[in-house]
Amino acid sequence: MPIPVAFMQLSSCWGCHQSLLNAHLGLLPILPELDIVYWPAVVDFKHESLEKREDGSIVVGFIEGVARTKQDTANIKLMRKKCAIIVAIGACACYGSVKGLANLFDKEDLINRKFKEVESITDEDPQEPTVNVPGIEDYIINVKEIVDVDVFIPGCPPTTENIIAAISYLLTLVGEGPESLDKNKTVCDNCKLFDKGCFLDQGKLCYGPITAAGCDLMCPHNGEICYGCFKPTNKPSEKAKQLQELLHNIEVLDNESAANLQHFLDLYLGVANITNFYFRGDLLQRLAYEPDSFVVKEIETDKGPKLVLDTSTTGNKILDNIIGYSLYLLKNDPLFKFSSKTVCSTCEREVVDKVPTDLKRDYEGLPTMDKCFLEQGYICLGPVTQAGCGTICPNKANAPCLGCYGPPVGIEDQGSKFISTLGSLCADKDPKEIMRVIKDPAGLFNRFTLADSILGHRYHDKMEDN
Amino acid sequence: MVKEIKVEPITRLEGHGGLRIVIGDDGKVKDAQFNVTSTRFFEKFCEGRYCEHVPRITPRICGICPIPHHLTPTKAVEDAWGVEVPEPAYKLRQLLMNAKQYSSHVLHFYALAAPDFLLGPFADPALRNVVHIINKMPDVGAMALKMMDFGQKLCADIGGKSVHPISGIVGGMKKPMDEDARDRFLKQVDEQIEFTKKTVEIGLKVVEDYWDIIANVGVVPTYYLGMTKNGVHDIYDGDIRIVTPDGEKIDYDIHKYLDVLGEHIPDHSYATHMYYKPAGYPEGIYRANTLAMINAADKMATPLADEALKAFRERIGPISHHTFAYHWARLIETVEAIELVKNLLEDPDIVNPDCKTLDIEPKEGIGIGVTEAPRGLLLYNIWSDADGICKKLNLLVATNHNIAGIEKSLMHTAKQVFEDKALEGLKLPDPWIK
Ligand code: SF4
Ligand code: SF4
Ligand SMILES: [Fe+2]
Repeated sequence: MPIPVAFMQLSSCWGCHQSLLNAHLGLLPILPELDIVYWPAVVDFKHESLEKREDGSIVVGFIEGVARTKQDTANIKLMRKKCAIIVAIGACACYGSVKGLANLFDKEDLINRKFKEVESITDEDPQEPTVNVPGIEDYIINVKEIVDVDVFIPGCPPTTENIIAAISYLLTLVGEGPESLDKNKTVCDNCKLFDKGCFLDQGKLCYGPITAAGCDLMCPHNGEICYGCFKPTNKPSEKAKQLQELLHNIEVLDNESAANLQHFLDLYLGVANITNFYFRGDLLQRLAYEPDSFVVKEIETDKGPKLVLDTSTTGNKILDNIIGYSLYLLKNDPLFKFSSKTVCSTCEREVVDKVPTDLKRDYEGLPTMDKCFLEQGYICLGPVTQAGCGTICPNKANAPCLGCYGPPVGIEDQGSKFISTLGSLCADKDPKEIMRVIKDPAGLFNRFTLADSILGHRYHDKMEDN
Repeated sequence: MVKEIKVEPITRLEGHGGLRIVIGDDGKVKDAQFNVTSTRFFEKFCEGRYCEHVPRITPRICGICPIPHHLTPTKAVEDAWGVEVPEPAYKLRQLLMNAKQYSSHVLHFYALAAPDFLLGPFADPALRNVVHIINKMPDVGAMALKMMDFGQKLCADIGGKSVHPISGIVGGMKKPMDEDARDRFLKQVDEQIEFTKKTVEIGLKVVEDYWDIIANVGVVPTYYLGMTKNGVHDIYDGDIRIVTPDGEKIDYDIHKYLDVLGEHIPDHSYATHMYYKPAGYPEGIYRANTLAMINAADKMATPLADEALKAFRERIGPISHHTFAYHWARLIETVEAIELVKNLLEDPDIVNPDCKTLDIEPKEGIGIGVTEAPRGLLLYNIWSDADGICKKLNLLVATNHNIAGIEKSLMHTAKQVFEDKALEGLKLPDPWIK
């Protein structure tokens, strides 16, 4: 059965859709899987038809663009109501993209320039249009601050491969899974070790009791524990209690158990690292990006009261408590680190120390193709930008990274992070020379993330004070 | 009773808009509005940015035609600072523009326009889209996808990315094409020319099928805004050319644009209404885009395209006001684009590393850059200070040139449809896809 999906375009440029369409022949296998119920750029369904759909009936809703007009804001809320999973696609929907630079100005200045001051305007007393147009928002608020967003696919635009991989992944997530999958049984049900001293009896964490049946039991039958890649079952086996007890014996993680838990959660709930998108349903990623977004609660166990992170991932109490306790342990593990790479990590240029010679503006000279841009003196945002694009600009176009994939995990503000990086790389440089090249830090370092940055918030706060 | 007909949103359009037609008690059309409902204020927030970075911000105005939005501001900054560009860079930019022109025109023809023609205007809206065409005419669908893919891949190769390119820089281009890549594209280009010929055949068949509509509906005399280089059709470089409703052609240096192009702020659209200043508003309302370019050109730059232009003029005359002839004009431009792509790929300058002027000094100045984007003339006017910071920016964006013209032809056609009942007597062909 094709899965109902909707594509919503807010104020944007259509570039993310173009990037998707750039798959061209690659679209042919995916299209039959999709029941496109709204996509104004491509199909003829009108807005009214979207409003009339049953709430929550659209499985995946893609949102491109920023909330520049009041209609955009209303459309974001409408999509949240109609769709089960909301995907923010592209830098606009994730961070505001360049449109967020408008937050550096008052709304009045924006309107005056466009509708009153522009040199080619000939009206005597031109006014902001107000008839049959939706009205302009005071400043750009990111989509994720207006509604809950489940998936983020960054990039301006995200590469075709990123988008196709994300869609394919989401399709498997909401699809029916392999035919052999049986959610009413568990891996334990067919396991040869069940009554022959299984891993749990040996004191090893094995997740078979809470994992749906359907695999060929390669792991336990070959001496490996089950890490749960067939995802949660609806009916945990009787051994789930044993697993829980073993888990509750752990108070603090050592290296081995931390790796075990992380691997389990990754396969059991996660995205298995197929793309660079941020999926909030992947609780490990969420733990890395937004550790404080979880509520901590206390549960009663055989070993006394225990703290867990409150997730209702499966709706099954035993399962949720196992997941919640694992996450709680990881959260308090100072070594917990979700690997997030930067653009530099896939750069083919030769790098020694990234310390710039003389800083240069981009029009000066011509960089060579083989050496790190920073070392040649050109500002490159590679060190503070999330990997995922394949390092296109530095390696394919001889152009420094502008930062369009946003900051990597754990970095809140791409711009301030770059300033401190540059500061330490240029410790022995004349500050005047540095200032010549960075007169516009907001435009250079927060080009894509201003609406999501400290600078953006400062402006935001100023608005709220008034 | 007063009746309001609304189309919300207009679909298969790159942007946001709705239509409103008001019909009075007497059955007369009282009002016809084209409401563009989104705007993003690039003109303002580019202020304060480094001039050389403006071209790395403005492509985000349009994901379909980011290439003109990358190269045109680059040209404007070069104009402001007095920077020359080496010949190989000029040719690389021409190639980049034509690769984009090719893929965008094919996308427009097959994905945005063809569903109306191949399925017929009264087909089920749920099916009236390119996905359905791909399902029902897989050969044509696959060919269309291969054409767009060729153009987009070529854009990506030269521009770094096909959507939001980064290879243009004040003074030239960041790198030439690699020889390997050049050879790869050259190998495919003859097949692409064949595809284009097939597309023209399909297009001409559609023209015959719908001749009654093309010749009778939406025939709206307006002015036209195009660009030519010494009278020859050119999308990268040239003068502004205005064509009057009677077909008179007047050339203007781009630096005189403020004498020629006026902007009226309507109360019902965020996109403004452009008009030809000497004729005043609304008399001077003009249209841009393919038909305007074809009306403006004395000839096309390449032989096959020039033949196609001649065939067009034999059928329609020296000037066309036929709104539906936009599609035909687009095909003529598509032919030129692929011919130019071939010529440029064969030019050794395309792999010449001398593609950037090295010594550049910013200076205070006002610069203007113009190209012809796939949807119409694109003009950037930038004010640079002595440090090369953008102080002010004015943009006359491709689609914007057409807003008033679209509204005018909407009014015209609404009257034809609702007052004169023009549709009733029209001959519609059997749809190709049922
Ligand atoms: S700073 Fe830029 S050029 Fe240097 S390694 Fe990182 S991505 Fe590559
Ligand atoms: S290199 Fe940087 S700016 Fe270029 S596409 Fe990748 S993340 Fe975006
Ligand atoms: Fe403008």
